[in-house]
Amino acid sequence: MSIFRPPLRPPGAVEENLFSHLCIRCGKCIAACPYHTIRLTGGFSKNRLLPHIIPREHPCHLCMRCTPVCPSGALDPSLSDLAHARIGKAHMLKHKCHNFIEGDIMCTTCFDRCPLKRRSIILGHGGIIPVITEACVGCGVCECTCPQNAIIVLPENYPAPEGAIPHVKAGTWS
Amino acid sequence: MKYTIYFFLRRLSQIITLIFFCCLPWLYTKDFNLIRGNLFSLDIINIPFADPANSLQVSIFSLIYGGLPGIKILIGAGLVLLIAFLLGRVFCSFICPYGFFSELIHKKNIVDKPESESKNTFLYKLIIFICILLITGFFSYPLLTIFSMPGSMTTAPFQFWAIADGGIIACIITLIFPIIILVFESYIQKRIWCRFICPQSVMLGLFSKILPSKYLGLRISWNKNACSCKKENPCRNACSLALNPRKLTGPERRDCVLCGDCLKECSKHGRALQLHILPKERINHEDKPMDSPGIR
Repeated sequence: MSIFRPPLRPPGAVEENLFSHLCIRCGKCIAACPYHTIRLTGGFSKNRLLPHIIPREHPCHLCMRCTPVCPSGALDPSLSDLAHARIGKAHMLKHKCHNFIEGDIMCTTCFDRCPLKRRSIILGHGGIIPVITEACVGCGVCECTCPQNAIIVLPENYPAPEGAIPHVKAGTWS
Repeated sequence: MKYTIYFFLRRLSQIITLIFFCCLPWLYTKDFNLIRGNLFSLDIINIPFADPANSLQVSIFSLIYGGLPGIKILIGAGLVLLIAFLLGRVFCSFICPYGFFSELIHKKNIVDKPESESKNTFLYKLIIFICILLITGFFSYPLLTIFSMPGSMTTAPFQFWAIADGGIIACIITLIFPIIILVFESYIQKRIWCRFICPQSVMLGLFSKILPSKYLGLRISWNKNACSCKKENPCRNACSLALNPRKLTGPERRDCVLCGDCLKECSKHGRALQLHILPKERINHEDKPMDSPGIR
């Protein structure tokens, strides 16, 4: 996990300040994840032994097997709807995305790979350019698959990075 | 003879526990689902068990922030404390990996004369536990996870098996603190962690103590009439926690981990110390312990 990026937590996680107090560091969410997405934080920082996700390496596939095994409620055990996973929000960086930088390449990889296609990512600008909506749950599949590393997933309520394209309203169609 | 069997079973339990937790991450890759977690929170065939000290911390912060603690945490901690209530601190002598290594290191030390029994060991542990909870609350730093030896030692294998993530380094970092304490214990020849510091033993000890001796529960008792030792104290010399077993209700149940060292030693003398579950009637009604100044 880069020290310049705040950690992303598994689906259904409570807000960050509370997460550190509620997580009992049992590792059951890590064991339950069939994609080895959830990782154990090492080191001596205050995040030690907490589960985190690095989408660029291993995105969350929203199978939701981690939430019911959490014994302490750090992950909401009643959460099963992947549209409410609340891992974070993906931000598309205009200065890196093929569709915005000079050249002939048009790319819809993020749209094609999104598990919540047409809800979290839609085709805007006349149905040709992917745009991220507020319904994004931050699974990170787009960040992982983007050939330009033009997408970055950050925790919800974290300020958007410089050059990020604003999210459109959820429920917007192409 | 029977204490040899008890000791053998106890040692077997410690070794199997250690090997099991080292192999558990590998077992997950083989779809093993019967036992999941670590000694912070463990599910054994869907029956939850939880570290009572960490469960207390989680519960306190859940309530502070307005929610209820997770039900599995409450049940898990409740089961562990129930076991401590009925069987005493068997966790420390049968399961805890730190206790296993601490005991082995202590056995290598030759104790020339026993130290005097410290009366305030529980008080020190309680103060440390409360300080840890307060520091965690004010600074949001999870100090209790570093001070939880069983939990952090059984998390290290998880980190080790994540080799691709540089897990070996993370595993070593997790184990540095227990290793430093073990080396220190070896140097000073005292089991200071289990006696003076361990937060888990605060909770386990409290619930071990509250069972009155006249009720059913695993404990060691001392039969004064059968005790053939006068000035010497072989049972006390044998106790790695510097407890005095020669009291009418046996060694202090709050502090005794039921390792059986005093039983083994006593079986070579008068067999005054006995391990039992059914309550034993008090043989005599005097209040003074054997080695108080009035009786020598």
